[in-house]
Amino acid sequence: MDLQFSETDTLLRSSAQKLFEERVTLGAKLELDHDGHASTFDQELWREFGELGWLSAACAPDPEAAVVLGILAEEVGRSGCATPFLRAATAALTLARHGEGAVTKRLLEQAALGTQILIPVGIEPGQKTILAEQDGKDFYVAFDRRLVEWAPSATGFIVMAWRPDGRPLLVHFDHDAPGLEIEPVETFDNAAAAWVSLQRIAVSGDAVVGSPESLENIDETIALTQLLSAAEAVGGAEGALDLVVNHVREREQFGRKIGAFQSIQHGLADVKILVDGASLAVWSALSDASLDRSCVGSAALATWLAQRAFQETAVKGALYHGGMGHTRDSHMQFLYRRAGTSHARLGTQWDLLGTISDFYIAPNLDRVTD
Amino acid sequence: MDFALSKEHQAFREELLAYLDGLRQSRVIDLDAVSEEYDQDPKALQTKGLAFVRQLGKDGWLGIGVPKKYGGRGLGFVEQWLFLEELKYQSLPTGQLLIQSIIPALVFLASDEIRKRFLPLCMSGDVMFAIGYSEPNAGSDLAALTTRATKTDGGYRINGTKIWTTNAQNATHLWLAARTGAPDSRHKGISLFIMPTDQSGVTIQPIITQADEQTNQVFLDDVFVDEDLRVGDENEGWKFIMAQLNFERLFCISEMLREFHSLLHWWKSHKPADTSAYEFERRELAKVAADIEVCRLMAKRAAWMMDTGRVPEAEASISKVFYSTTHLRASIEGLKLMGPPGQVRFGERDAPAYGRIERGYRATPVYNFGAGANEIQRDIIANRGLDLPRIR
Repeated sequence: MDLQFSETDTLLRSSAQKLFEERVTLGAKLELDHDGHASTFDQELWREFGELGWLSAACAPDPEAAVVLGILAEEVGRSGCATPFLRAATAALTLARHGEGAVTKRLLEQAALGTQILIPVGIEPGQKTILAEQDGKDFYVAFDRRLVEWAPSATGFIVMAWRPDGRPLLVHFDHDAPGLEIEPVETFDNAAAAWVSLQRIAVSGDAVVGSPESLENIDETIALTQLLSAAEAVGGAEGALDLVVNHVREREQFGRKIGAFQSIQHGLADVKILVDGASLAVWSALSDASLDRSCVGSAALATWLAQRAFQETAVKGALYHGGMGHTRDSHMQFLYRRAGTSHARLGTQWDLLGTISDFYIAPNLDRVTD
Repeated sequence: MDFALSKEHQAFREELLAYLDGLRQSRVIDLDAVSEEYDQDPKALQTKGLAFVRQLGKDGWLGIGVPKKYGGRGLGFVEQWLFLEELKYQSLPTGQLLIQSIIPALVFLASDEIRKRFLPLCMSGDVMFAIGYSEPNAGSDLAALTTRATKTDGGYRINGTKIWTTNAQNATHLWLAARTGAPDSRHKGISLFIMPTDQSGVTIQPIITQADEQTNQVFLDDVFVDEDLRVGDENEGWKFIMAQLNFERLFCISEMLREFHSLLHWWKSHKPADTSAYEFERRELAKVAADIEVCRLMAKRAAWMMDTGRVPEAEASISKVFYSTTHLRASIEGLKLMGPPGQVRFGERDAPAYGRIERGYRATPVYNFGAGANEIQRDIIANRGLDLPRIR
């Protein structure tokens, strides 16, 4: 049992924090957040991710990458950075672990360099909504107006589709593939998104990058990608807590720093407890994933906790900032908005709690019988 | 990074389970009867519980964390935590106060004389302690205590009143804080004593709680205590109290977990037939399970920190607040699920979940205000965890 990060991990975290502090300034965020809606991301920063090897971390099947990716996800979350990093990591991890053939190899090489931005569609826990209909020997995939984060920035899409026999297929489409329609839409976060539709199209040959056989254990990979989003949410919560603590240390009312009022202190202590608990749950599950142990149940649990911690912290952070956190010119409002969209990103309460029940209630019904 | 128990920790747990199983089969002690007695009042060691704790002592379990040079097993805090969790889950008394507070205080803080005199007795279970800190007007503000220890020939005369002195009725000694400095000396004028409870002038008056558990008010009327039963120097008791409280940073979750698993077993045969109601209820239970899992992770972290030489400060307060609020909420959620039968009292035939949920509901408020009220813990979290200014 060892609950501390290695020296290498600690160095990675500090260098990521430094980079985000220098590059994801309030000015930089406002510049990307034209009219309150992001349409793009910092391409230069993306290239640096590639040069630093961060993008390649998701492009190999090794389980140890879970910790590295978790650290990076937390720091993305803490900074409130607008970046397709987490979405691209989800697609890359799925390909790296389950992809087959020359196309997979090429896509991963390009994704590691940052020249290919792959965005996942339908790679979510419990979501089997994209169907691969069978007609003779061929499979056909179609979907209509799915909201896909960072779709406007994608160079390609990795789509999980489900065959009539309940087995999955992994399909790749270039962003300009015939039948694919991308309709950018404004969201209230500083992340780009689009309605994406696919007309019924035959998938065969190079388009199929993952078969039912190669997609065995896909649930574990999906759980890991869910955990990375949870790590991002924990980072967001920690970032929001840092911001509000700094604010109440400085802001004076009634002749005192407002951080000296017990009601403020206790309010912040309560969110600190939630953030601490979520962080423990996320890192416990990530350590399981990094050691190739199952993390499906613990990922759902950590995600539910991370969502709660992020939302509660962002709300309290916004309230304790008062008007100063309500203006566009505040870091706080970026995290407040992202916390609101985290519900969409992290999965529905219904699904998360259903999975937690499967893993933490069902096996314990007969533990105490007298 | 690995949150899982090491092979050594797992081996320790297996050894403990095998020991308990062996004890159960040999019938040296009737463990079912011990559990039954413990269930009646988990806060107080009674006849069977006392015999069980002495058996634990005889078999070397009370000295888990005591260095080998003092006759213990020389194991760590993780093993202590596993030991306490397993016994509590099986509704067995643990000698927790000895293991978690008194023995570490004797090992790490006391003089050689005190250690030689009391450590063997503690490890064998031949002495039992109760903590004599709180007073009617000194609870959260412990430095306001007024029980007076006045120097006399060869020792001290002690006068005052202690309250919430749980298990005093079975204790051989009080771990007693008393004022030896000026009345307004606050924490700078407190000394610590090991006071035998059979001394003349000790009156123990039971206080029965809403959970039918006994705690006590203890009246000390000119009670004589030998000078060599003072732990540490005169007026230096506060640092011992604080250090001793540092040892109490493991918050076991088994009591809550056993209640919750009892609830699940009841729910298994009372699930609603209606699918949507069933789906709703299993998710409400999942929320509680998630928070219980967090409590487990927090307790595990505290044990790991202490094993690696770190002192959990804000972390311990976080664990305490989250555990106590989760435990209370778990019992409330249980009552909500049970409907009318949930009100049937512990001990009554056919009480749902063996009455453990209603009993938990009556018993758990104490965890919110006991062992340092949650408001004090929130002060500590704000001050030490968030670096906000001290209020008091």
